[in-house]
Amino acid sequence: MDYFLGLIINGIVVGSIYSMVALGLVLIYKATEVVNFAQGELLMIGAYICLEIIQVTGMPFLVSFLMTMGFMVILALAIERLVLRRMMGAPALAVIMVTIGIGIVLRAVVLGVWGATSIPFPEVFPRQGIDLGVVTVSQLYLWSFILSLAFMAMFGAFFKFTRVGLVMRATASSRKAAESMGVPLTKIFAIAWIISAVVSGVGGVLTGNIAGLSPELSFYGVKVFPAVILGGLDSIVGATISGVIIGVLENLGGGYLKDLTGLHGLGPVAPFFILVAILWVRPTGLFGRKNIEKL
Amino acid sequence: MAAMLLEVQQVGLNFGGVQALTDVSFSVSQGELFSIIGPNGAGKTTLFDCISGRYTPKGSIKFNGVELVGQKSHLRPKLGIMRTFQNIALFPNETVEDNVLVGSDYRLRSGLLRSCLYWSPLGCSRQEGSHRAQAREIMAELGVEQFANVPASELAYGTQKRVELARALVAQPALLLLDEPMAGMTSGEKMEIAALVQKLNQERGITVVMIEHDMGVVMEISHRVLVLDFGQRIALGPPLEVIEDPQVRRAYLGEAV
Repeated sequence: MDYFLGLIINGIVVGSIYSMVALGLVLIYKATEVVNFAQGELLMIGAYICLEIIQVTGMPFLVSFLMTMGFMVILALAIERLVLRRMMGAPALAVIMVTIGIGIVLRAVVLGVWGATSIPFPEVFPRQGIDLGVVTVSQLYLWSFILSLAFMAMFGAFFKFTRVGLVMRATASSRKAAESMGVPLTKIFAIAWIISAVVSGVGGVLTGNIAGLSPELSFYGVKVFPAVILGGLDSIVGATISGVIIGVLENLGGGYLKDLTGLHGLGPVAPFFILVAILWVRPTGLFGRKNIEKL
Repeated sequence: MAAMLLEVQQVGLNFGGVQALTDVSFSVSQGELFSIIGPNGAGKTTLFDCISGRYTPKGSIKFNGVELVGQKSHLRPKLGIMRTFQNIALFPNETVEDNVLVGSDYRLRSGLLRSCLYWSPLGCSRQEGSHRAQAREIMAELGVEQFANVPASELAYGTQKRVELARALVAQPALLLLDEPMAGMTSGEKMEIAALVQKLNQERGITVVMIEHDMGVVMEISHRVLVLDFGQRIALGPPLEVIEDPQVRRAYLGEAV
């Protein structure tokens, strides 16, 4: 029973990070109609930058964390300004290809600067457990969960209650109309990229804390896809819920499938089985609109 | 003769091999209610898209003496040009009030960061408050105030058309481009919208350029009418003159008339 609960908790924590990164992916899709294939690489670069700031400047984690977010904002602005703005009006597929290219470049940078070996993250949150009554949870996990939730709540409130949030929602539902209302599309796209890069960076720092740093962090981009597709490519609520579902499935799969089948590494695959099954029944995902890409 | 507000000169546009507009010229004076008619595919909406910046045509389109061709589409509201769309382009999931509020958001450009901080439920900024008051006023004027908190997609077609008009008006345009504002309405609704358009034109002094198929309404409320056929101007003048034009009768009204 403890084993089961442990897997569930683990899944929820990892899943909440998936949710947060998935939110970034959905946001870019909603605003710009482009699926960002560099999402995992943004996560990876965020983790490495935070580590570098800590090691080079020796500043406390919180300061480094804030500086990392600042870096992600600048990176997003640079990507939007220098690369994507030139692609305005190009077919979505071409822009998607460009995001794959951005991902490759970011991975090459990480490999070049930090190498391919795994680097442990200096301990920020103690791994020591806290007794929550029913089960004991590592403080690191608890903090990761709380931070992910806080960021999601923050951006949720931003979309729901601010004018820019309203304009972003409006742009997502009709670009043509928004533009005729005087909405500067490039600015909206830039904001979408900034938020998306920031949540990815935060996800990277948290994941790096849990699992250490390696270029394989970029694989998170692929892991987040089942969450996004499961939730419906255009649904922020869907992505948030599905992130947790995928996290739990992955952990349960990893925990039990090995004993059942004698095969290692089935955990990360498990969500994809469920994904395919769900897409059979609901091709637009659990919360998606009818007329989006059927994958 | 009043000053020319909109001057369209020698505007041409082609999509691949298709000549959508050929050397179209006309001017609309300040305070005029100007209609554009023509058979389907004559280039009416394409002409609107050129004026509102979705397409960049050849030739010149001047508004208040400022050249519009080549300027970005989202700058039109700031200059005082707002439009509505043929097939309604509301934001379906947002409430009527939020739809209208987006219409007042062209000021966003000047203070994007500042407006990030406006938390609408608190209504803490003066600008936000005045936007809301203005939005309410316009909604009341167009008779959609009672739907303020209803998502736009849940409204009847005619009501959605009114909301779209409210959204265009909240930015206080000098020039209003209406693309078939009465399409798909009952004759009663058409009368109401026609009266409303006339009122906006007369009382607020908004210059209106309107694409409309309902000839009765066009004849009744327009000061002048431009007739397009196959992307070319075939007539321009007061409604009664235009309708007598043999070319117009042939092209638009059919041989039978």
